Amino acid sequence: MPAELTIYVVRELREHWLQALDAGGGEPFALAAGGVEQVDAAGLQLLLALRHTLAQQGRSLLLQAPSAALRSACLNLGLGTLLDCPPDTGGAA
Amino acid sequence: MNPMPDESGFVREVLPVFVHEAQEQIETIEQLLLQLEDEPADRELLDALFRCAHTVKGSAGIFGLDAVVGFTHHVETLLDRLRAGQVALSPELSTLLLRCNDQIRALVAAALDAQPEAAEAAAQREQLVALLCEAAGEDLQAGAPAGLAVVIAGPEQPEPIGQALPGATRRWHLSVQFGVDTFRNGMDPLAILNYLRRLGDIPALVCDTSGVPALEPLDPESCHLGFEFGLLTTAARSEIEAAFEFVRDDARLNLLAPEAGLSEFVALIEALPEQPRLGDMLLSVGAITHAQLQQALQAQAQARASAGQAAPLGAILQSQSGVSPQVVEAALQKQSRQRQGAADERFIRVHAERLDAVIDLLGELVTASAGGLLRARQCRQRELVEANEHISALVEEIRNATLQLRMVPIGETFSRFRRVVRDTAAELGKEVTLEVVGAETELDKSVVERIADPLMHLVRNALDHGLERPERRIELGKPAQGRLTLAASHEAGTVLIRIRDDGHGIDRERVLQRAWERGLLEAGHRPSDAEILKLIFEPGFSTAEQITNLSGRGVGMDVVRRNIEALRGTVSLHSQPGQGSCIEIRLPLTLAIIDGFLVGVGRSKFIFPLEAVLEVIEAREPPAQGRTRGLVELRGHVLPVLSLRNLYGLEASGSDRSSVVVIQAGAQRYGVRVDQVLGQHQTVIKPLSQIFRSLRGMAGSSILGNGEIALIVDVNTLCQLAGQEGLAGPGRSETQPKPALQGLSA
Repeated sequence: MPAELTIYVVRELREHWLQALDAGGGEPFALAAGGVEQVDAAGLQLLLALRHTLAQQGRSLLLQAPSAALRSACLNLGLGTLLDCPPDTGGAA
Repeated sequence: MNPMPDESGFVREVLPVFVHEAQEQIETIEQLLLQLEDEPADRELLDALFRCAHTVKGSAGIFGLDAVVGFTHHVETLLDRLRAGQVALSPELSTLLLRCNDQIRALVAAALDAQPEAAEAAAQREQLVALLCEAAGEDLQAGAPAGLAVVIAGPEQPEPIGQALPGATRRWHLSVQFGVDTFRNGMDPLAILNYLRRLGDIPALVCDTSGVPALEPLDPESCHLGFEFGLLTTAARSEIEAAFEFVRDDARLNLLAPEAGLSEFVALIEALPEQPRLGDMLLSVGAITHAQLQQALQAQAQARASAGQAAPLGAILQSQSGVSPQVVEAALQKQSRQRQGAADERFIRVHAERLDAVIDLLGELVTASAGGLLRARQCRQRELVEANEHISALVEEIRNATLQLRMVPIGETFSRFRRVVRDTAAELGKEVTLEVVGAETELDKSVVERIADPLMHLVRNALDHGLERPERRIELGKPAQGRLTLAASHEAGTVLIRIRDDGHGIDRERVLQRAWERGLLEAGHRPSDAEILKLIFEPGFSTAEQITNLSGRGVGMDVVRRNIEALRGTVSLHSQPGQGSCIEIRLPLTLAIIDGFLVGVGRSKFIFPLEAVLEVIEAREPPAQGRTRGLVELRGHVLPVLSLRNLYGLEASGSDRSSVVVIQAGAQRYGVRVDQVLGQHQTVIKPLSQIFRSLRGMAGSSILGNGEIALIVDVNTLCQLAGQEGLAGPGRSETQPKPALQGLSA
């Protein structure tokens, strides 16, 4: 994930993730989240949509080592579940 | 204060609907309170009462009508006490609640005109609030619904919500659905929430992610987020709202005040988008926990499996989790309303003006088709006549069916009198039961509206002057409780309304005495019994020795009679001394169309209401020149006869032949001399324009099929003209507005 998870990048990020989804990849769908510095609601909504799509495929989302900025944004927006680790993945956070 | 200021256009549009519906609820509250007086312990009535108050408060909250919400909250608290059996419903309490209901009615009505409230009204409300608190017991402040951190403004502080108790930390509930363009407009919900965190503490927050689609269909720059959260803050409503200032254009914000009881949450459920599942609705407002919902859903599945039928989820939630019944009920009601949608479609609420427009057009259509028929007959083409006759018959059917649409049961008007009877009787120290018969009797809406005032007066009159005090009744061997009956029925194309009491009846001697004193009768003259009773409706008559502030409000029975006659109705009084009185009012079913009897005088046309025409006789001798009134002999009786030609100064006809139409007006008969008798005519009544209002003896006008104008005769006032000046003398033709009439008859 880029350092910026905001409205300014959601469009290209969506394309990027859609391609990644097409490419298959492992389960869970893991994103390195340690470098995220700027977050807004549009960015978190994009994560929600991604999780939604993954759920439809029977997959789960894993935010690896989320940065403090990402963690507090999730909590402040009532989206603490985004930080939850999918079962059977161990404490990746 | 309006939670959605930028949707004020929408609010303006919907507010009248709210007011209308709230008024219905308020009406129901009144009826329920009155019913409860007979059965003070009836649980169902109490529940229904509570629900109504809830609904009013809830929807008022949505419109930000804080005064309504604040006041109704106090009423609700007392109702809750009543339901819980902590307070018993006494007659005094019932009176207080009725007064409070009047207050709510006034507040709701005030919502429409947005005038600043008079200090007097506010003081009155404060007083009511104080009484309510007293009645509900000292611990009113602790009487808030459990589970919500609620701070209630004390009884001495009925300020609007939002300004109460500055400085105290209070818990608000916010429900926000951000608009789809929020991100594109450069706004960030996260920033707004963080700003709110600076105002106070957000102890619990749920993000509504149900609107967020999957990645593929998502436009990532559109916002689909909503939030439900509590806010503990000392900030005022305006400060909280300010946080949403830049997103208010398209966000849906519900800001529930700290005083909000369950009813606001109930209102919120009502306001949430269409048809979410019941459990989710309850969950999303935090009224129940997720675990409770799961448990309830499970129980429902079990119940379905065992009984083959689903137990209502609401009932399960209530029994299993102790969720407040009101919250469940509102959610259930919302669902069942949506489900019943199909059944409810059998009723359509139509604006009265639209209906009136159709009826107006139908009037024109009746006239036009009459014109078509007339011309067809002139052409003497049988097929054309038949076709036109068919059209006329159809038009008449449509007309009847359309007039039927305007028919409303009189019961609504009658039930309004329950309150009047109750209050009036209490004020007079009398005991009265009101019996209503034939509430389903239908009559034209405009007649119903205009008969309410005269009826009100007659009801008050019966209570005031008709019924005796309980002590007196017992002395007379009657039950202490007086009986007042309001009855309505259809009779021969008219509606008959009876107001009957079992009081002391009319004292003929006193009536006579008064009539002699007032010069309404020659002193010592003693007319028939029926004539004596009629005197009561004469102007300037009142037998009440002690004029009370009720029926003696300056409106006499003569005004009642005039109002009823203006509706083309009649009123009569029957009375058995010692047994009571009965007032009979006869009204036409509708005001729009009458069966008329068309006559011609010179080139002018006049229409008599057909039911008033008894017969037509040939005039044997021509009338004396210039005389308005004369006499003819009819089967051994003398009949006063009025000449319309001389009365209105119409031009002479070519022939000497004339007829006399015998008219019955009330108990009196008189004749009207006319040149031609043109027969029965379906008459669409048009009111006379303002300039012709002073024209005595005319009730309206109508356009004939050939475009001519005919004047409709008011048989009652014409009767007075016929009876004036001993039926002789030079007549009043000089004083009548001849030019106007001639202008009309051209």
